[in-house]
Amino acid sequence: MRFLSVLLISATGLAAQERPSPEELLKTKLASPFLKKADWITDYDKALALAKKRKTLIFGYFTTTGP
Amino acid sequence: MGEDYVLFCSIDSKAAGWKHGELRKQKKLTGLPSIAFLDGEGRVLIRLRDRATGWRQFSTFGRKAERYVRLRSAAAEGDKIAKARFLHMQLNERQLTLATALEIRKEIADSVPQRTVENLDREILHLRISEELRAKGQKRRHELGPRFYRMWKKGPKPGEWVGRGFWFAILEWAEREKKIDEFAEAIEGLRRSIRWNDGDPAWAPKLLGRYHEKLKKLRERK
Repeated sequence: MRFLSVLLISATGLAAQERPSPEELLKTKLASPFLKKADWITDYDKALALAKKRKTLIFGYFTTTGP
Repeated sequence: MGEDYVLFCSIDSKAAGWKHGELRKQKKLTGLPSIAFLDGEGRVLIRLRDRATGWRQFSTFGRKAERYVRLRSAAAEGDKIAKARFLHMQLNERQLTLATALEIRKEIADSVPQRTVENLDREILHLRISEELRAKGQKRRHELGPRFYRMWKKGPKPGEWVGRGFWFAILEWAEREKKIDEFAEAIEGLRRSIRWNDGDPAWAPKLLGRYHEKLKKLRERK
């Protein structure tokens, strides 16, 4: 039983270590090739300000970092 | 595209310091990914429902968003025809409550062609159906089945593009009551609804297959 507990704790610890942090996931997403292919803005406030300045609409693509 | 519109990519994230990491949720955009046009105030104008596969679809989507803005301005200035068209767009985008939609309809009904009013009434009926379904919830939607079936047969008849919930309510009622013909009719209705609203999705054959299995069992038990 004790052996099993140790094994489970170790396995959980390993899984936590292997799971990328939100920061790492975001970094990977921001490096996506599709974001380089056009002038995508990822800052909402900047997008709003630019749309107002240019008097145009925002084409919004909503995605996630998660799998 | 980037020359015509501001291209904005919103990323859901809990990363420290990342602003607006829950924007999609705040904008009530449920799909992943979701695509929508927003105005400079951040209001969602229209959502892209079909999976766009080419430039033409995106271009049509853009024109639709621009039309939305034009109609919104004209409607605000009191143009009744624009109000009717804008109401139609808002109903399609599910941006209104039934009470608000009925209020606008009342205001414009005498100033627009009868055909326009009929089209609006059909969309308002869809909104009424979806509000009734929401109020009942999945567990009790079968209670709406008999009335929805009567509506389908005798009117006021919803369009083929009525949401799937309408047919689920009829299917679940018909299954409980062992109404084989009604069950079979509702499978066909569901198939048409999926065709209209979702095209040819990969999940449809499995879903419809399950209902055909149930139909087979209902027939065997008779």
